[in-house]
Amino acid sequence: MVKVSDARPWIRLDNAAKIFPSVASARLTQWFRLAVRLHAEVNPDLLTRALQAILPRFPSFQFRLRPGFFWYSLVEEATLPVVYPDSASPCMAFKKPVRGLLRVRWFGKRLAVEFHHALTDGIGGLVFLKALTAEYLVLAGIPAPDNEDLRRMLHPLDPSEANDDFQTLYDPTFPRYETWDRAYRPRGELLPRGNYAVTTGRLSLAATLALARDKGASLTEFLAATLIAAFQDGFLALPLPERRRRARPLRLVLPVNLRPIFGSKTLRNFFIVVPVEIDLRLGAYDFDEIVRKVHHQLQAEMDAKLLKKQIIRNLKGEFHPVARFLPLPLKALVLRSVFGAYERRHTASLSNLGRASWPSPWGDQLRDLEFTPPPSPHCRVNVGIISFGDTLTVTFGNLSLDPSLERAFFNRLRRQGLPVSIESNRAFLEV
Amino acid sequence: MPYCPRCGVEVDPSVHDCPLCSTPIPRFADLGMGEPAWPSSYDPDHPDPSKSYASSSERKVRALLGVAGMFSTAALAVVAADLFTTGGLTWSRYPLVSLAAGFGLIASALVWHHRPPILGTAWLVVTAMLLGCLDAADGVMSWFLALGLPLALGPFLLFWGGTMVFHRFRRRGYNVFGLVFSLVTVELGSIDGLVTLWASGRLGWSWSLVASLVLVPLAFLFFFLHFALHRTPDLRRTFHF
Repeated sequence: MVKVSDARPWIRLDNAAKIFPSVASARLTQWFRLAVRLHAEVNPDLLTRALQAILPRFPSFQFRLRPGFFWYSLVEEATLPVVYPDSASPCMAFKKPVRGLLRVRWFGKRLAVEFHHALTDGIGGLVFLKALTAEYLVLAGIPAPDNEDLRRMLHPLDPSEANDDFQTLYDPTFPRYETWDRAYRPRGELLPRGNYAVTTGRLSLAATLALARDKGASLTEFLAATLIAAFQDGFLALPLPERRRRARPLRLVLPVNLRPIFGSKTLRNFFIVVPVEIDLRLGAYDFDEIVRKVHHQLQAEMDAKLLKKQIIRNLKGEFHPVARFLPLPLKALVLRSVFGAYERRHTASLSNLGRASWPSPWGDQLRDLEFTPPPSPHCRVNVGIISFGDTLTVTFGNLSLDPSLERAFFNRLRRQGLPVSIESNRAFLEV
Repeated sequence: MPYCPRCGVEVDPSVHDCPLCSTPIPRFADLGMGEPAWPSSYDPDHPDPSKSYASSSERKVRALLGVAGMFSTAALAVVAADLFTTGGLTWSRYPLVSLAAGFGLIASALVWHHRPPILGTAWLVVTAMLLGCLDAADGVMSWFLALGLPLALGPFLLFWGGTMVFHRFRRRGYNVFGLVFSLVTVELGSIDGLVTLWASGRLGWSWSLVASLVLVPLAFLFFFLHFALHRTPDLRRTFHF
């Protein structure tokens, strides 16, 4: 963090975040959301106090974006964030936005935090949500557990949490990373601006995991295969001439948390995406074939050296002299086309944040968690997965009017004997 | 919890229809409506981002007004300069016609940018009107009907014809180059023929024949590469003697 005389402290955007502010739009907002459902109604006054109490512990979350001549930067925000009532569409940008890159919201028994991707990624956001929920429960009179989990959750501030750990991996001698070709993407009318359809399905974690193990796959591989199969269902329902014209690789990208792989403690972005795909030009795949392909592709892609190769590709883009010294407005034009080309190379993203837990008795106050992925007008659909206790929550963020992909996905899970409970904001949108 | 009889999934008690398939959810007397999972976008207590954005038609109207403002300012400046220098509307008729055509092209792109056939037709009409007005600006219609209109119509028809043929290609490769070279040949021939007809009163081709000597073989070469060689590019078999 740089401090010059009385100027506000500022930090550079990390490598993953560099592109986000320049390409942001009314639909491509770059906001994602983590929410926790409690057993009791949320008290907004207590929530405000909890937020203000934990912010000193997370100084890197109290920043806002500021354009510079060459790049955006993160500048410390003087005003303390407040708690906002929730709206029918989460993760949307307000025309007069909240200046910070963090929004805490509530509705009924749900407490939600929305993060701009320039600030952090899902894992960093989850650390913040856990601390906020813990502080809220303490203020609500739930006794604090005295155990190792709690000490780990509220451990003292570590300066390395604000590091951009991508930079430590730069090695110009690495070979070029091969780009992917264009992917199949479903078409359809978009929702009006400011609307984001979110459909959440809740399943039993143990039952889903057992089914995945039965297929010889991990939970993420099983759900990714189900999503690919649901996309394939939509493709196979198209008329034959359209199928011939639009057949391409059906490619999902799965964000990978790089912290355990490269020994990082950062709370800023530190992830990379890996692809899994089937090629629709080669004919229809049955579900077992898809599971097998996804399993082997993911095993091959989860290689630290291969991940580093992709990170260095991104860093080389950042360090390229033309990219560095192009003024920001011109850079935005270039980055928009680069990002558009990147988005055309995958069909959707599926992000699994894993299993979150709070020590008892805090955990007893919580029902489940939700992870809403950021909206994408190019891909239309992104999927966020998170687990708490025995509840596995799969959330579809969809910018299109058509919910057929969600229907195909959850119907496939139902047909395999998994009970699914669905909740959606579609009925509450103004469309 | 209530469930959808079609999908078999449990649904939120506050909804009337299944969020996945829109099937009405059967209700039972002992099952209340429950608390809604989301606030309504009509609820004034909840800030709704969808209210922050102008609708598509509102944004179009704003953009049209902005473009109209820019073009009318430029038109006023041209008229003022003409009045100031010559005391009447003389040379300014030409830039005024051009400005009106520029406005027509941009306005039609703003309104119909998602409907290429209508946009293409609108651009043809605007271009034809521009040429007609430029011809009539000196008080006499001399070249528009014989030359201007056919020259504007030619690329339009070739473009749409080419687009239709392009969409009928089952496989796109070298045949696209073949199509482009064929269309360029026809366009150059039509320009040459029309200009000769207008200038000398009889149909004839001169320089376009030279261009076609290069373009036609190239078009044939690309079609040949596409249709004859795409499966088994065995040059020995194809050219054996």
